[in-house]
Amino acid sequence: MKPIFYLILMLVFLSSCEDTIDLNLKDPQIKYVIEGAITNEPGLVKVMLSQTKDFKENNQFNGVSGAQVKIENEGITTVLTESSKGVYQTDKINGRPGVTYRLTVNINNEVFTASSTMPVPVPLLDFTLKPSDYERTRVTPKVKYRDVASVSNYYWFQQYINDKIQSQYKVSSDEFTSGQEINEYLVFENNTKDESKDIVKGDRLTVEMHSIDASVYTYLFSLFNANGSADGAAPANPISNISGGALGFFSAHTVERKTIVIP
Amino acid sequence: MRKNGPVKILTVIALILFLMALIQSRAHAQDPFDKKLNITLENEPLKDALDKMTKASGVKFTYNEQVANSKIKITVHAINKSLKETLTAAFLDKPIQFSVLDKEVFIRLNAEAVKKAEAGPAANPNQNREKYTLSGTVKAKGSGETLIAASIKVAGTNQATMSNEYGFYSLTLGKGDYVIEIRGVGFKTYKIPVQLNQNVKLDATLEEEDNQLETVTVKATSNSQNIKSTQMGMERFSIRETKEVPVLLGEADIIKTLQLLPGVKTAGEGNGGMFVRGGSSDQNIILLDEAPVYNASHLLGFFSTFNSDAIKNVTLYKSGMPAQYGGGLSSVLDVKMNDGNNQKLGVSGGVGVIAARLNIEGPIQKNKSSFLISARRTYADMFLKLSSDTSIRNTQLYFYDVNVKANYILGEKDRLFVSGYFGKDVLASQNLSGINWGNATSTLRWNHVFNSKLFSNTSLIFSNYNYRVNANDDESSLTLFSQIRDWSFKENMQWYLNEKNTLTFGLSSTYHSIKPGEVEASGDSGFLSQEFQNRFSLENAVYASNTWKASEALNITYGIRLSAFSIFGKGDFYDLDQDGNVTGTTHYKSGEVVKTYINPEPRVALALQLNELSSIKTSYVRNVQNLHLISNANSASPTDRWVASTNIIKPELSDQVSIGYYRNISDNAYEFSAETYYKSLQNQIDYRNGADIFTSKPIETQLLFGKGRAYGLELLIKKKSGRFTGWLGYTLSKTERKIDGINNNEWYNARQDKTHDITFVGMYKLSQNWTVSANWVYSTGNAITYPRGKYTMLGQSYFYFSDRNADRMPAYHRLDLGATRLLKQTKRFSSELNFSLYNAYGRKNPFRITFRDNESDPNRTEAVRTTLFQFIPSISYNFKF
Repeated sequence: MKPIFYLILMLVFLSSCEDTIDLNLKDPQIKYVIEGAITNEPGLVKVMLSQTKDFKENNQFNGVSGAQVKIENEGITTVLTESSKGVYQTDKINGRPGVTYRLTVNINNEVFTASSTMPVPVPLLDFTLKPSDYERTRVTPKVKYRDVASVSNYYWFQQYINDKIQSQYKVSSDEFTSGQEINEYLVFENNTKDESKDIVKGDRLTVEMHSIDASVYTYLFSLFNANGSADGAAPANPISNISGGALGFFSAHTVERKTIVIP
Repeated sequence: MRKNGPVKILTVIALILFLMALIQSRAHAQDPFDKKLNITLENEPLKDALDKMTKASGVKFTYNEQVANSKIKITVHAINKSLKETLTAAFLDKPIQFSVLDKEVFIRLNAEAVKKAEAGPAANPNQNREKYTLSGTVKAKGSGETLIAASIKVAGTNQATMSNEYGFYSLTLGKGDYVIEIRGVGFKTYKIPVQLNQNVKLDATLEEEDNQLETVTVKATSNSQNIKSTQMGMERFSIRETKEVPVLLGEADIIKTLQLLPGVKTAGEGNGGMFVRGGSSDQNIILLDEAPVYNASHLLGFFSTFNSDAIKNVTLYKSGMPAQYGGGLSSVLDVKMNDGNNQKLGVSGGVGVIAARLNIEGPIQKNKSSFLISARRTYADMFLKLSSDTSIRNTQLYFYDVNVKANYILGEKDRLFVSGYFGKDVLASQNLSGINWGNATSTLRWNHVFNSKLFSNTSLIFSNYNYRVNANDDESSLTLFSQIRDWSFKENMQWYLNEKNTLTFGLSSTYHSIKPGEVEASGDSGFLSQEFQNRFSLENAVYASNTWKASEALNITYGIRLSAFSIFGKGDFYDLDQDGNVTGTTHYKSGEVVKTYINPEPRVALALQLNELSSIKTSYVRNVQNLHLISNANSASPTDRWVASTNIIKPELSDQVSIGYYRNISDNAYEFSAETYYKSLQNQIDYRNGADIFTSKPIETQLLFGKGRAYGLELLIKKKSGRFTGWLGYTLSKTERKIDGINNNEWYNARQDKTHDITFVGMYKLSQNWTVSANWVYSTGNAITYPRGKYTMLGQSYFYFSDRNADRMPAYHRLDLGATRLLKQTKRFSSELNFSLYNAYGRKNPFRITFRDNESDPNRTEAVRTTLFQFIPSISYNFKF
């Protein structure tokens, strides 16, 4: 319901205005950040290790070299090699549903661990767009899938426009929809003032549907509001599934993909 | 530092203005005692002598029949002497007293001296005197409305009392002759001689102060009750006192006005939520004719649900709540609706920038019964229809509220009131999604006067709050409905036991039923319809409290409230582990008691009068709260969830001690007060990080518990009479929370913690037709959390946050200006135009600060301030006939 509120708030505050301000922010606290994923698609498994940086610095990835990164599954340990600064990878793991993967990152004797179990994939049945759901700045296609009743399922939809990843994503759980066929909206939006980013004829909208485990769902759900929500709730760090004090998450998930082209 | 410059200058300007106003108004009010006169009187009867002195000095005298018929004769010679000297000389050895009453001089016979003179020196008036009781009801002459907190005083003495919320008073005195003075804010003082040789019933009708006369000023009417009463931490307004205060969009709003008082803070720009002495907004008990109002705001908090046309009087208790109130940790806001004019039919109303109002009241049977209907609706949505954008055109956005009331005088001793309120907000984009919410309350009350000393009020109360959220599209629809509903019975007795003791006692019983959510789904969304378990509870309380005049100087109020909160089935109740996971479930059958929390709530208050004009007071109060609003938002959201205490959610407790110094200056024209308080809070509730608000899991799994503390100093100087009225307030305070699981279990600033807070409110009567007003507020910025670093995740920038609320928003300050032009005033019709300018110097106060990637340069991050209101002008037209 949040978007509705936001919309209405904006309507009410016709006189509201936004501007950038300079704030005296306190010195940054340096934390390690881990982003790691294993999918059921063939290819590389990547784990990225970085550090937080000052607000005033640029947004370049602040990779950290020299870590020992290992993934263990079913008694086999695979060591990942650093391909570029802070990016560790391997082609020796082919993710399979039902398998639990354990990540260990050791940097300067600080050890971070995480584990994630790849769920059984739930098929993405359809990805469709009605003409009435199209506006240049906001396109809301629907995904269709059928939940599996016997287990708790969590879903993560990542969105791309012309293969460029969008900041918007959606997570769902089957708490209220167990065993049902589900049709739900995704929002592809240009919320900048830059008209060149509007969604026009010929643009390709892609959805990647992932079946994720509960701890990854919690992370992504809390990441969603991490920068403070529109109505002013206190911002808080997302709840990570990594122990040892690093930020970020490690996920073993399935991937399905569908694309539509704006007619 | 650069940013503080204008603030300092403005502070200084505000202070200077205030001081100037003080000086000016003192100069204006020339003391009639200082008038010089030349007069010679030889054995003139008292009345003739006074008439001649009026001629000679221009000063009028006020007196009763007793004085007019007095046989006393006066002799005096005065040459260019002041009136005071003249009178002192003339009344030497005579049983006559005199005192200044505004621009006139009040003359009265000294009852004791008269008696002495009559009975001879042997009679001792203080011995073996029988006691009698004077009681009755105080009303307004024009409307027949009863007056709350009117003061009833024996002229020339310290003996006084106040009318209760139904206008009833009772005063026990020794046998004798007295002159009784009855005063109410905005009314002429009513004086009457009373011969008390039996119990006397005296119903007083006070005449409204007439603006047409030269006296365009409000008189000081406090009569120093603020000094004597044990009540501290209290603010009381009659609605007419708040009407001149400029507010956002010109919609007179009592909650906005209360936010201009020390110790009462806002959550944010334009927000209706109130934070009293460090409490959160749900810790205020808001009562409308005794019925609790669970969501006191319209339009997401920008307006309060109280339509000022229908309101008579509001009282806010910040500490030392009387024992009949319970259920909220921070404050009690007791709002009383008008009863309805029982003299003549009246219609009033107004049109403002966003809303139109209409109020109709009149007698059903003259002097006996009356009704009132008051309605208000916003019409901003009409303009949305003009928009070219279809999504805006199809948006519904309005609120309305209706107040109705009727009362009937059954006889000498009985009076019946029925009152109701209904309000609703609708926000929706047509056929798609939306939300509506509203309160409905109703109260049936019966006043019964058992005898001149015992007053009883019996109430039957209903209150309901619900909201409904819709999300529809072509293929599916989803509705969420949630409700909280109360039925209560209250019995309150006031027993004016004797000269020294006034006892209040009673009981209350409330049945709460809470429906947390009912989801109806249809279509292809896959959403399953379901209903969350309803919760049932019974809240009972008994209380007794006594106000004891221990001596002339010392008043003590002591009492206790014993509350019992019982939680009933049917439903499942849970056991949780440390991390909020369910470890066990117990099912309770319908009507089965799950748990009962019994809490004694002692209350003590003490007032020591240092002299006629000053006193110190201290109080201790414990409050218990069993209904909790679970909210993680800064601004009020209608979907914030009310939950009752459960086996896991413990009753919230607060203990508050406060000490204050009170002083009236310049014949009660100014009231100064300084109060300090310390409050500790237990069993405070907050959401877990990453809590899922919309979940079928037990709500307890999403919550964390902890404690809080708040302390501060509040200074307030008020000017209540003269052309210039207003106040200047300053608060120095600290508010902290310590919740297990937040901020590494360390103390952190509550969001509403504002170290410094200054408010200035001034109203100046320029002329017969023009009144101008101004507010200026300044406060330290809200405590918020700024990032302590950033990182890249999923290709986006995210921010790292460390200590909760360790940073500050920029300071908040704002000037509002208002002006009221009286267009027409006759006996039958009056109308006025009201202009206001909100945020007159356009300060960009942040509503919110967010952090994000720069749009044009995604390689940089920026802090973005959202400002809501700058230079908001408004105009409204009000009429009355």
